[in-house]
Amino acid sequence: MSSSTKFLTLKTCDDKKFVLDEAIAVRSQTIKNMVEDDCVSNVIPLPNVNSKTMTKVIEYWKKHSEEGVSKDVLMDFDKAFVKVHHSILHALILAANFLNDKEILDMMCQEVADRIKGKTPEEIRKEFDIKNDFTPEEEEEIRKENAWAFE
Amino acid sequence: MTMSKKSYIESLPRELLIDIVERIASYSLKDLMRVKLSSRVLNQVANEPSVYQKVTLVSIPYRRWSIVQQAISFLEMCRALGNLEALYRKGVFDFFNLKDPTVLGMISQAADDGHIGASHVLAIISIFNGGESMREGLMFIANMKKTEPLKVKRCRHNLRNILSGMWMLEPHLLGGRPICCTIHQFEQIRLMNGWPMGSDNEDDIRCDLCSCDLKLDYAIKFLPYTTVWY
Repeated sequence: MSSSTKFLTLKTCDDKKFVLDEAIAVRSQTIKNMVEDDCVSNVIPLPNVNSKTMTKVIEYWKKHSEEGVSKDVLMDFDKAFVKVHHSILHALILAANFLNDKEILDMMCQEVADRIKGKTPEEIRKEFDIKNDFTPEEEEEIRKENAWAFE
Repeated sequence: MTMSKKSYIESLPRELLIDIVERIASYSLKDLMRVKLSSRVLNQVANEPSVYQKVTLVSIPYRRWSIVQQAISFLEMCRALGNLEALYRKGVFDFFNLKDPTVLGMISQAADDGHIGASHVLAIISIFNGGESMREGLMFIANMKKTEPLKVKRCRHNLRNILSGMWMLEPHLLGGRPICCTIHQFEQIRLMNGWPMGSDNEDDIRCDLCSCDLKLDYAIKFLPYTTVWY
């Protein structure tokens, strides 16, 4: 038996391979379960995650696994980490959900919520490229229904 | 295939979108209403039961006459879906206003699920029930004052707002006096002002709970943290 570091190979949907220390990879509950159930062959396929997103995730895992990093440094790292286009937020949320990493998932969902806070419906649509698919009548009805909350 | 192209955010799995909108709802009612107006998908998500359960109600005044019917319906919906603050408000209002003891279950439900105001008012009610429960209530409040003085202050403030919202007056309801006597005092004022009383038209309001006053006076002398307002 070797006591040296065990490595796992993760393969994303675009056929890129990532070799990663098992101790870091098991931040993903999904991977952890696979390792514990001993159903890990050489390569772990991640059919729902592309390499660009996986690179971000691994960047996060590595930073948060480093020893001797102060809380302030991690906070700054997290702040910068979530400052991405909403399409990447979307990809990271899906990846974190698939990998079952509650920490990243929570952080990303909070980021989306924070970006919505304090914005008008028009500003929310602009922020996330949402199309206004209400008919003018529907919109007016919802506006009327909820007007009391703004009094 | 539908022609409408969903944005990235809207195409998230439903349970994740709900999670996000719940976060917004628990932070601000106005923000939730703005989410509803953003698109059909977001409007649907904002109408999920769990969103009503989590939505913050702090911006809705306690005084029922000062809010419109739509707000009352919204509060009712929140309560039906288990929103703790809505359960607490309705429970307290019905208990003190309608003297309906069956609503204690509503307050208990909110308290059991962690609504601190509900635990606080249950303690107060038990104080006025006298006997052993009075002692438990006093101990609860005393302990709360010791460990979480700011929360007690907020609970008291909120409770006073609900109680004062029952009448067209804004009195210092609980200031220095037990709740129950104050209630009866204001019933008398209501009578004097010809405020509609329904069938109950007694001049002489008898209050069993008033008999607790002396005991309460006596008790608070020995409980340093309960002397401020009880």
